[in-house]
Amino acid sequence: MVAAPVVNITVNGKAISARPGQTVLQAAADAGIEIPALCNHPHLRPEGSCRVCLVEIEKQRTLQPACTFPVADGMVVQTESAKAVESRKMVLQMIFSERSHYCMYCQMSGTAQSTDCELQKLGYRYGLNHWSYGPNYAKNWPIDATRTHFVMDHARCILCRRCVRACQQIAANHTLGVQQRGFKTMICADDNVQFGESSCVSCGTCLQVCPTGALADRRSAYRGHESEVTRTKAVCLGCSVGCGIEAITRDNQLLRVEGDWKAGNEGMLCSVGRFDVVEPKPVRIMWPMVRTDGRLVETSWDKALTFAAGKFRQAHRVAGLASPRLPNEALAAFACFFHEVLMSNEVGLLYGEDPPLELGQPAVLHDVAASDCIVIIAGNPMKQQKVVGHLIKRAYDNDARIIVVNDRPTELDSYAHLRLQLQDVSYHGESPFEQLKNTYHLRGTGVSQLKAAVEAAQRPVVLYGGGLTTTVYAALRALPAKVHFLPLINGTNAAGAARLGLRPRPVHGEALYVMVGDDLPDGMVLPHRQFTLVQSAYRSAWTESADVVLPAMIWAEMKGHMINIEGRSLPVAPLLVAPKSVHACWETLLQLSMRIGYSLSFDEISDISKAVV
Amino acid sequence: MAFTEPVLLKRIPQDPSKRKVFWYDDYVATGGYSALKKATTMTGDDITKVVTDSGLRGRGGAGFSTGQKWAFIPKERKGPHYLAVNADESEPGTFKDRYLIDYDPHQLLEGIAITAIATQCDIAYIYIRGEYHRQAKVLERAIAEAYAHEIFGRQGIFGSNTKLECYVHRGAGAYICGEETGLLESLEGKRGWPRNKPPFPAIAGAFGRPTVINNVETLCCVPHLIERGPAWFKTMGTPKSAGPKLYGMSGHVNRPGVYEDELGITLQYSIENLAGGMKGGKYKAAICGGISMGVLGPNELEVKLDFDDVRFRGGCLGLGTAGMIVLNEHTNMVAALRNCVRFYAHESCGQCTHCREGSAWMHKILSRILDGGGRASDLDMLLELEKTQGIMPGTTICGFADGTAWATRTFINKFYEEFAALCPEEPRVQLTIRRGTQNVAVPMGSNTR
Ligand SMILES: Cc1cc2nc3c(=O)[nH]c(=O)nc-3n(C[C@H](O)[C@H](O)[C@H](O)COP(=O)(O)O)c2cc1C
Ligand code: SF4
Ligand code: SF4
Ligand code: SF4
Ligand code: SF4
Repeated sequence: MVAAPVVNITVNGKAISARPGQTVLQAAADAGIEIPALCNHPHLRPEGSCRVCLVEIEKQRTLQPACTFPVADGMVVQTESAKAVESRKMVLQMIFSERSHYCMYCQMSGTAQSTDCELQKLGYRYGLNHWSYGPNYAKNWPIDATRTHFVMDHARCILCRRCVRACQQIAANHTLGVQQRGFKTMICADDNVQFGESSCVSCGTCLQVCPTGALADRRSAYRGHESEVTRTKAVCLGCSVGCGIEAITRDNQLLRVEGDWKAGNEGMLCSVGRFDVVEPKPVRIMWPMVRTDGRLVETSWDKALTFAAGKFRQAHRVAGLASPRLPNEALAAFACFFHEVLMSNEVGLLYGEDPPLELGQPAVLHDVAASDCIVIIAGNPMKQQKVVGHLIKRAYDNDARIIVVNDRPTELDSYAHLRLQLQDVSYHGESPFEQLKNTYHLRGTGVSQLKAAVEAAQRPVVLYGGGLTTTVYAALRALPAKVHFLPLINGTNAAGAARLGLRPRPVHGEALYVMVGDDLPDGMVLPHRQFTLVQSAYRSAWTESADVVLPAMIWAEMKGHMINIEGRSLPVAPLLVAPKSVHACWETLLQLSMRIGYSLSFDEISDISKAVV
Repeated sequence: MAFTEPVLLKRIPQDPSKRKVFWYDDYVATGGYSALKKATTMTGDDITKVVTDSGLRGRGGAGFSTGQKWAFIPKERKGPHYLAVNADESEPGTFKDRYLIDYDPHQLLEGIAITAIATQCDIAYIYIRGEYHRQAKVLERAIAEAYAHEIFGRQGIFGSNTKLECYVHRGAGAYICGEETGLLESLEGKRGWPRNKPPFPAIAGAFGRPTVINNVETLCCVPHLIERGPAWFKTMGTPKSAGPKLYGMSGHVNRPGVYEDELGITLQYSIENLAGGMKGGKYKAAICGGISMGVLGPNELEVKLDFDDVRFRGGCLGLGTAGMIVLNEHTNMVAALRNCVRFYAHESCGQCTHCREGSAWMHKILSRILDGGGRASDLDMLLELEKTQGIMPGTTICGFADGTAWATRTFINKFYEEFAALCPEEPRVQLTIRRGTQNVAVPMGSNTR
């Protein structure tokens, strides 16, 4: 094995082994030395414009920006020399004077130990206790509150342009830009329209990287400093991508969600995962309810379960529907309950579509961003798996070829270098399985172009939705072996459900058990049966039509696992403690089975996890 | 004086009534494109050597050796090379490139073609200042003629192996797009924001490819050099600043305009012999090469206008573009500086904190001084702001801020009395506040207004 080359440098007297190509700031950070910087962000390309990170480097005539200066062997760096500190104080003064940083009115402001504002933190660190350059505002900086989830206060913006770069480099949405010049410079959206009317898709990446109080989250502002909240890494259950999140909680309340930089989504989230989860929800169901005289009346768990058990015993056949948002453990217990306790095979998913078959080498999310040729067949990741949509756009920015195969128009069409219909890629032949490697059915020249593009690419990725015909599958299987495949699954844990044999399908039986978790109907109507039990976290049209309603946990209270589009099993960790009267789905099922007169073969969640993972 | 006949202005007479545009036929009839014919028989390295030997230094402001710059372009071709012609000419007081394009566009095109042979360029972009409507049209027509006469186009320059395409790209009215990397960003269709260097344009310039960037006047020197050789070129100018130079004379002089002479004439000579002497009063100061270079004061009439003497004896940043703005004794230097700084505050691209804020602060302070509210501490602040901005103290991405700094520095230092008169020493008032049982002095910067 060849040892990785090392660049030896000295920072503040400490010997550091850096990697070639690193900047002084990165090398120092790896060694635990923090060089202050405002425009720099570890996940954005350095730009070297704020000049807070200037350091003294031996043999350099002038101070140099640590965030862009590459390390070289033997380099000697002083980050806190008198000259560097003096220069840093001057920049900070200028930034403070530029706009209205009256910290006491700002949600980020705190003490030297507790401030969330990176500018204020540096103000404390360098002892800026007065202004020698007073305020010098170019104008009355406006506040733009037209976005649903967060607000931009230009008066607190320090023009670090992290937001602009995040929108370009991470979200690849290119909404943000800069208007005017010099001291009139201002962040703007598109051709200077209000943020709410712009092409912004509210992914919130800009909000996550903003160092000051300029971008403020409407729901979590003023509700706790970083020092007062808990950060927990978890998985978003918004869709099948299963993005890594960092949940910010306090006093058993979810304040805000941020993207996990270390997960496959690389810090990005979509508006569903970041913002919708903290939006107000319908009334939470705290106790079981049984329909009495036409009205749902709250009752005890015991009464409700006994009543429901009686109905299920009487019924000739019981049908079950479960939400694909539920973790494996809940779904496994549900399936088990039907097969073993109720002796019924009438169990399926509440909605969704059959997950696509597995094909070839599976891709991970990063493969999409790094691909040089992406084929999207059926499915619409821009709507259904939005973070994947952003990754596609990122690859597009890096000159990847985009090929869209779909019978319906989608948002991806405007990115497509080649646009085909599904029938263009159908395999043609009497006996497809014998002639897999033969030619495709040709309709125009489209398919040969597709094939040529995939063959010419170095890292081709095929994203494919559900509901494809066998002929299309045959065509996909015939693609070269270097292709990585990523299924575009609809339904958060539909992949986990499929492994348990649960698929979306019509179910039959005069009694119906619907386990919806924290799903909401969104216009969907339940099939009408003689007796319906709905287990749901929230009151909705579904619970209003039920005979018995049982409470359920919401996603942030559940424990278990889900399987995402990469086929990875991701742990679903509880972020919040459920109300005392609300139990996990599997516990409810255990209780119910006992009242029916049968004991399920597990009594701990770990038993189920072991069984399914 | 070895400057005997006009070189760059040989087709542009001093008398306005005699001037006309030299289109292709007129240009060839007066000896045009013979240098290019000669160049097609030379290797790129030979051409670069001639240019290096001649000591030609860039006429766009920085005075960098042109031959050396070309030599940085990688010899091995892994894709296209570009030539970006800097015709953005927005430095206040500078109007020489316009003059060259206006009447003798083919001189520039010939220089472009020779440079392309030397540096293996595939495409030349002439980045022209947005306000130069007429000049852009002149160039468009001249380029069309050059295509028609097999200079540009797929057949190769006069049928040789170097194939060159040439386009005019019009700017949109920002001074900063004259800075070479700001120009490249703008050329690529982005906001004209200068880039961090390295990488330098010779390695990764336009569209990430090796790119030569030269000023119009620099390129106009090239055909003459090829035709008449480095020794001839060196008969003009001083040892380290060789060749002819256009001087753009303006301000309080009798005959403002563009004049050609050799490098290294004295300031006095340029005023008396080129611009017809002072107008409306005695000489007081001269902005020597666009305002970014700073100002020459009353005792500096003997300073030689070349790349070094202006710096060493004149205390300026350099000769710059030699766009001279001459000021007479009735000029208010504080107002003149405020006017300069207003330009910088308006034109700073806004990337770097020091430049964005520093220029705005300078304008604010100078305005209050002129409005009668000046204080001694204001001068300290101006000097502090000036010292902390620019590539030289290492606080900015491009040299724009150095321009702001040098203008301010030289104005205040050389005309200190004028500034001090408007900035009286103020009475020291010490404010105290009561904290607990004690009176505590408030640390007042005197400039919290
Ligand atoms: C703020 C700024 C503005 C500039 N504007 C111009 C300009 O308008 N025209 C020009 O030729 N060079 C300008 N320059 C100089 C260019 O950056 C570059 O040095 C020059 O074009 C190189 O050509 P040369 O070597 O032929 O002089 C400017 C430089 C700075 C820092
Ligand atoms: S953004 Fe930071 S420095 Fe500005 S007001 Fe808020 S806390 Fe203070
Ligand atoms: S929310 Fe996302 S799309 Fe909207 S401006 Fe911010 S980064 Fe861009
Ligand atoms: S909004 Fe925030 S991230 Fe964007 S430029 Fe302003 S301070 Fe920086
Ligand atoms: S020095 Fe000024 S003009 Fe140059 S990049 Fe920085 S802000 Fe822009």
